[in-house]
Amino acid sequence: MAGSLGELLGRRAAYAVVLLAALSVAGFAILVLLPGDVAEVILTAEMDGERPSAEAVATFRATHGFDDPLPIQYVRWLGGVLTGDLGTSFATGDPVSVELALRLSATFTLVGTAFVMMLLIALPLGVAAAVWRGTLVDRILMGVSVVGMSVPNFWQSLLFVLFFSLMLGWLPSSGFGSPAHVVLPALVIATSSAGLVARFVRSSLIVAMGEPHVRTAFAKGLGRREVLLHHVAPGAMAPILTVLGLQAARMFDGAIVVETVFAWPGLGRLLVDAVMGRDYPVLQGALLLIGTATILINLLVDVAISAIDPRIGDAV
Amino acid sequence: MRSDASLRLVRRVRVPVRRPRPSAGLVLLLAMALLVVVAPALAPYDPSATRFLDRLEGPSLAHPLGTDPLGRDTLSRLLTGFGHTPVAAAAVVALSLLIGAAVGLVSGLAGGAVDRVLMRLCEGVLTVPALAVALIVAGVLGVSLTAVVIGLSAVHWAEYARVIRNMTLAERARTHVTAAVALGAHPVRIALRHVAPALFGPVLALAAFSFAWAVLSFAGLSFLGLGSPPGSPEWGAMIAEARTHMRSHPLLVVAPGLAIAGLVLAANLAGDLLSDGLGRAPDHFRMP
Amino acid sequence: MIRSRALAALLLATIAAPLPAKAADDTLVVGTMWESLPLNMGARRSRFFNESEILDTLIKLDYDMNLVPGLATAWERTSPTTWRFTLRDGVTFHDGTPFNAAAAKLSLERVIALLPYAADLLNIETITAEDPETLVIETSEPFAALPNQLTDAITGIYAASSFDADGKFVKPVGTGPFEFTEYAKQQQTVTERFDDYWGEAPALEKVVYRFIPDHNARTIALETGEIDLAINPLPADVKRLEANDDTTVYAEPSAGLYYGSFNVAEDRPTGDVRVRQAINMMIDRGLVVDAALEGVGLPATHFFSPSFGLVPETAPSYDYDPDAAAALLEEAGYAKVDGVWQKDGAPLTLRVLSYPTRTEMPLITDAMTALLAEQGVMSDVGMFTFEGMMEFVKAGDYDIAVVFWTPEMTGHPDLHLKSQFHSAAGLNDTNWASPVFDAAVDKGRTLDPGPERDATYLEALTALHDDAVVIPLVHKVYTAAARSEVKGFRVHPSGFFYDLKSVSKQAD
Repeated sequence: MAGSLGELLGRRAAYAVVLLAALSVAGFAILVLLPGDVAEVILTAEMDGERPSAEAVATFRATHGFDDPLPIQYVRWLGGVLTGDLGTSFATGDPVSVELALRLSATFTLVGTAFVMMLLIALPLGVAAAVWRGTLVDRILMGVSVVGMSVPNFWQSLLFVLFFSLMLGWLPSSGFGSPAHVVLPALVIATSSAGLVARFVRSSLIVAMGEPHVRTAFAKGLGRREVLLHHVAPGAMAPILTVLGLQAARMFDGAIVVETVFAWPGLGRLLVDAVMGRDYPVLQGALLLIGTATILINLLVDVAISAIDPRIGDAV
Repeated sequence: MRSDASLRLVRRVRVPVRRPRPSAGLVLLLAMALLVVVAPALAPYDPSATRFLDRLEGPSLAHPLGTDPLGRDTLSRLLTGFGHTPVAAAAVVALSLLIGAAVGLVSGLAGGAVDRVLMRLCEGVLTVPALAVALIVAGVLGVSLTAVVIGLSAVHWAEYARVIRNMTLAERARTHVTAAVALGAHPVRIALRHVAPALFGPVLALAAFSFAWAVLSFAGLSFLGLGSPPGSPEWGAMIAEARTHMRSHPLLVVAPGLAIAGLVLAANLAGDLLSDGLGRAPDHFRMP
Repeated sequence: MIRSRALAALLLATIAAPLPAKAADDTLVVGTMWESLPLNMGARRSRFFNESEILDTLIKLDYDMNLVPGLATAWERTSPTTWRFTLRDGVTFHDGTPFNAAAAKLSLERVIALLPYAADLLNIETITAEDPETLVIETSEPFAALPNQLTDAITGIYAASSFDADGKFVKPVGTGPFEFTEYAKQQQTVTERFDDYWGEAPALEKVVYRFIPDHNARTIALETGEIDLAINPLPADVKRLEANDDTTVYAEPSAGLYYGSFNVAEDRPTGDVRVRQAINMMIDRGLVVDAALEGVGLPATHFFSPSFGLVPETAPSYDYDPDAAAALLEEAGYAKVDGVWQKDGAPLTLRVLSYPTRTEMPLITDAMTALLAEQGVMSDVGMFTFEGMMEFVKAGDYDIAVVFWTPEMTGHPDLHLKSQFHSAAGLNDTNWASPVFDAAVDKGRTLDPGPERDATYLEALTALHDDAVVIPLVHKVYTAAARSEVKGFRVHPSGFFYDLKSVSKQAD
């Protein structure tokens, strides 16, 4: 057991820093890889779509440092990024950092709610299916979850709006700003993840139930509930946590589409708007933010898993 | 919508409940392939032919699913749609498989530091939101089918790499492979003769799951206007167009959605059936 | 599960905002399709400042698109290049400072300095505040169109406190009936009645502009009473809203035009004028209006709408005539094989671009290409945002760009003819250069209204028609829908002005 938790954490953090550096190069590359002249693209956007003159472009290049060697441009750009300067959105003229901050909290609200809803659906479903495995209950629950995984979420969003907002009038069909607004979009994201997680909870529990110490516990005459809570659940925790970590990415993908349908001002919709509008500074900012979030969530999940099950952390 | 296709493989692997039915899965997959090839030809009308006098009609004998705002036959568009999303999704599966197989085989056969680095990379890639990557790639390269396929595959290959690497490790440990290695056989020969055949089953099951995911992702991108061009008889694009008439003509939204859900459900079931029969699939979520 | 508990706590903290309640009687809630961006004067030509009436322009357009006094009560052209404006007396800005010629000069100079397209629009050489009530503008060339251009939203008059010490824009402080009070990004902008307004005081105390980009959602919000006025409801919803006793639909012909702009470069199929003329004759505009807009629109055969008298009655147009179109294509070397026009074995396929951010565009593009396909002309359609589309247009990688402009925005033919089709114009991406057209348009803007101006613009429009540079499709019918208790609303034909100072809310 050479690697203590602290040492592991250090190693993982160092790895995360390497990834962040790579991410920053990728982010910088967006503007370099752009078809056409970056200076001209930015200037055209500033001029509300009118084509700037060649002189104006040349002046802009010189005054904004576009003629410097790439490494120097990169360092200057990185300095800006680290101090929160991500440029200005072509579409709104606001700083990208302001755009991202608002969108991040909206997406966090949406995906966070969806995550909780997903757990509330998937955990009971998965546990029930595992406990009654092989029975009709199991079959039905797993059948429902495979249907849940197969329904396109943008379509489900529209059907939910038709049904819950228009026919029943229970919930607002789109928008932002009150708890009622978050319910429908979060439910769509939750249901499309819940099926998979339920199935995984079920299989992890079944695997854990087969472990020798679980049989021993039963042999000692412990109750089913007791065994499930104290002997099965801990064994199934690590794989379930891994999957939940992966769900963060899956749910964000879900949010991209769902936010657009429900006019939720989150990162997903910002990203879609930026792609359709060729809003490169926003695109770049979104890439950096999503990448950083992914790296940090990974780090968190890794550390959480090592804390729960030291054998795993030690081996990697 | 990150693919969790490989996760699904794990299900019931150790404690199979149903008897394995890989052949049923194979049949289902072949049926789907047949549908993709044949369905567009079954369209009763030209999917882009407009009849303005018959616009926004309800279901009738002549138009079983009615017509859209331009008077185009919805059923014909739906059937023609089999030639769009499923084909793009298959392209994502093929490209991911190609990259994943190369990385997985190298990782599994080389072992050691190479294996550790490549697998660490895979784990990282798997936690990236694939749809976001597809969007960013489309944003930089310009919106096109190619950009979307590249973007989705750029994340999805790691699913295949992991499964193939784990299967390769398992195969390598088997005696006849160990013997071949001991006899000094070329690694490429080992990969092709001994490892590849064993991979066929699990990879097919994974392909079914990942096809399901790719259909959902691609249709979602088309719905956003970033996959198939608007106006084309692609299911996601059809739903996006029908939104303007959603309240007066819900069938225009419901029908293509059912087509997507049906195809994805079939692919998921095929994957289930195929992996049910794969007793040897390793639980690769237990890290080594 | 610690993570999820923390998440849940954060969630509760972030979503614990109150549910939107129904607005009070003196508050009007407007649902808009674009986000109002009150802290950005450059965005989308400052349209919001005009719509919200935070700012006043020197001259305004009435409901027939005629010039009427704004902050200027009178104007005259004292020499070919000199305009003299008499300014309104006793006007104060929202910050309490007085409006006078010096303030107007400062504002216009800031606008020209901050907005790159302003100089081109206004043609201003010098601005002089002769006395507090007299503003003299010297143009760089004889320029009769100046009063019209001064109705453009971007020329709204800002108080000095709208800008910081460096001259950068901070927030809109104007002289209008409503003053800007609050902005929540992606959600809403609030304006409140300005009690020292120079004109008749508005009935409304407060106007809330809520950003609801989804067209379905905007209509639903109106039906449930969450908002009082919905701008631009879907044509497919108009009938239902008309039938609903709680809502009223307002629809008037507006100055907007949906049209296809051809790329006339030699190497494109649309480089042949006969192909462009044939396409103009192949499309039954009435079908486009019905199929794409549920009848909410006017079939367009001219660049300017007949509703506003800008187009001389004798201006030529192409009528729907498939036989004549076929004859033209045959003349151009095409032959119809299996229902598709071909030349040298290759089908006639057009690269058609448009943008879905304006909901009607894909519908109109779809209808247009479908009608062309019926006649044997194929299309390869690409959809981007407007900016995304313009990248391809500027690169010349297109045959038809389906766009929406407001040709009569300032009530003068100059603005759009000059900026879209003059061979020297930055926005002319058609590759069309006509000396006849250029000369006519250059001359037209120097002429006072009268027969000579009409004849000059007839010459320009005839050149545009003969070379078939555009295919006019639909004159927009601007729609808005309101709760029945909203009284006094009128659709302004420019499409850039709500005139909410005449609006009130009274239950029947």
